[in-house]
Amino acid sequence: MTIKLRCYAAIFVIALLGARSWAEEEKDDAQINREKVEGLMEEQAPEKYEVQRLIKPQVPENALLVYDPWEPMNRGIYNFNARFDRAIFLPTVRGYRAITPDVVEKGVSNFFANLGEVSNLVNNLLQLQLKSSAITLSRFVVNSTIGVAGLWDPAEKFGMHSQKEDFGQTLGYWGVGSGPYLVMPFFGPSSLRDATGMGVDYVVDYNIDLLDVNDDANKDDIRIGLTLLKAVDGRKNTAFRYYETGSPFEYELVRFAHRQLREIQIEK
Amino acid sequence: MFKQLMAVGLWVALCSAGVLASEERPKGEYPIADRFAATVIGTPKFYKAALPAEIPVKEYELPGLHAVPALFWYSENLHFSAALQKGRAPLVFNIAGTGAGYKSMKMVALQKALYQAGFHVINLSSPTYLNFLINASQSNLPGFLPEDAEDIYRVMEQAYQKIEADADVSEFHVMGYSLGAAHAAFVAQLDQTRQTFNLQKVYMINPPVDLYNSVSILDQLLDDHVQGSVEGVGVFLDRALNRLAASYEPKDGMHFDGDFLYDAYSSWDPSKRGVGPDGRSGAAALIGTSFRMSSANVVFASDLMSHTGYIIPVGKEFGRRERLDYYAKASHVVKFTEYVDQMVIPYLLQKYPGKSRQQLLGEASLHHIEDFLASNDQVRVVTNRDEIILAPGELEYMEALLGDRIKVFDHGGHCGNIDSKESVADMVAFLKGGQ
Repeated sequence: MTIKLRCYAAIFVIALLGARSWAEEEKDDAQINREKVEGLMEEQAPEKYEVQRLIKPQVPENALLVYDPWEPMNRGIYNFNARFDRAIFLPTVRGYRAITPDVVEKGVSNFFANLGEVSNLVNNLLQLQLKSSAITLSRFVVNSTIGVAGLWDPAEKFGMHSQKEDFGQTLGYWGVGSGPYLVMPFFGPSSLRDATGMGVDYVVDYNIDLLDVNDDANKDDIRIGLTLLKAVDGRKNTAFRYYETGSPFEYELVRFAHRQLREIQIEK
Repeated sequence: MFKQLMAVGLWVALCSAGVLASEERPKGEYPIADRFAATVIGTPKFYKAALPAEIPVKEYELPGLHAVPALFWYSENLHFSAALQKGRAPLVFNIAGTGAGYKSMKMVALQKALYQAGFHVINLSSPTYLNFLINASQSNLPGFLPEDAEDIYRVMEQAYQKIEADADVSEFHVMGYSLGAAHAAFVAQLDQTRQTFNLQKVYMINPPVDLYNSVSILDQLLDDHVQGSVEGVGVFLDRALNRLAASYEPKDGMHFDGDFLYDAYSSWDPSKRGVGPDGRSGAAALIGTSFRMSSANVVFASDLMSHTGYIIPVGKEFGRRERLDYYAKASHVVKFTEYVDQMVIPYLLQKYPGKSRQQLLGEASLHHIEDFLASNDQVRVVTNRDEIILAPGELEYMEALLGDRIKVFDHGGHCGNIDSKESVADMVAFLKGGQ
């Protein structure tokens, strides 16, 4: 319990510190020199009601632009994530990889992926994707049994591939727009819709309680442990490294790429 | 309950076992005949050289030459990596291509191949890569080969000092790909007077001959293949990604890597792979776009570091959370040739009074060091018949200059076949030869 409190306190302090320097670093609008550049800027400068323009069915001339009204905050969180990644997250992942045999690492990944099948199934059903729902259900059954509680993934070898869906995608499927771009602390790029979806998925998982944690006397410790392990496992499986694109415009690139990827995932 | 589940599980598994498909791919050399597609896709798995999944690589930092602005807080100090053998071995300095860092995919593949073959390997970022440009480029205006070579040479000396205690080095070689290949040649020539390393072999993969010609060709790709040129990039990327996603259903989810692209590409009707009805090639558009992005990075970072005032008003300081999208757009309008003409050349004209623009451009070309290249039998070039960055006559020029010290593969475009079996074998054979 005390650990939990301390974590909250730390996050709160970081958030406060961040908020203060955001205010400090808010600068006036960009000024640009050259004529040609100025011309272009004027043409493409965002209008006051940018949202309206962005939700037009044919993406207009500004396809690279993502609606991002909370940009200063998002950039702050992006930088925080980058620092956290370098100072804590990646070293932890390196340590984890050093002390854990590859077979175990793979088992951990499979285990969490198998738990994730619950929300995959729920969301496939909500999107009326019957074939994918059937595959997901079969995967869960096969991997929970032959795959020994999900530590192995024999279903994959039998040709049943993971059909990942989350509640953000379900919302998207039913026509909910992505809303403003949002960089979440620790989790990274998201949107208002997808962050909401993550919350819903979490609540569903919590209530289904596949591992029977809710009735355990040590449920808080177990949850924290599982969450941390899942986070380390997730980072291990993500190749992205902050600020290695070599682009001063990495924030914009990631924002664009993330939005594109989500749109494609929703269409699939 | 558990038994029943087990039975259901087994049944489902057996029923779907038939889906297990065995895929066969034809044997032979590098398979992609379209030079643009080859450049984008790279080497499909089946044709790649066998490389270790992981090798022991350590990362190092060197102090930078300049104060780093707040905006670039994440890029303090120059970074490089080294993979060192336990015993005595030759050391290869490996230099990245335009806009690429020491950890880019191509660089990591080369490092693995060389380490596997028994070399110490030091991987260095290109002077056009943000981290190098900020920290190790004296002028912060990379692209002029003789000055880039000075910067790289200094970094090589410092990097070697850093690892000297951990590596038993028998001799030194230098290599690179694309722009890095030209850098390798200039560095080797510089070493003849400096003699710190007494570099033995120079291996150049897909080099440009005349840098200005090559960047003109790459600049032109965007104009020719993207409707509406730079203004159309957003729409083009949006369409390209959607078309890719819509026309191809991968079996195992969406992984955007080279093999995904190759599978998608091979799944298309051959008549639809190449050039579209309007004469535009999607692959060429991608290359043009990605080159423009590299050049935008250089333009913005050079402008900020060297205070030329080209885009960023002199004296403007950026906070860490400042919106950059206007500057991003402005930087993407500038072609690489315009960067050379309007930022690099004015700086050089001021620094070397008496030299003309034409003279300076000539010095940023392999022609300038052709005597060195022709007379040194430890220089080898490998390139492709369908290379995209060479102007007409430049391949023939290199063939005439180097004789049997140039290897020309039929396909691969620009560096598309860099980690193919044949390419890696050629590299290792040359660097090992005569040991």
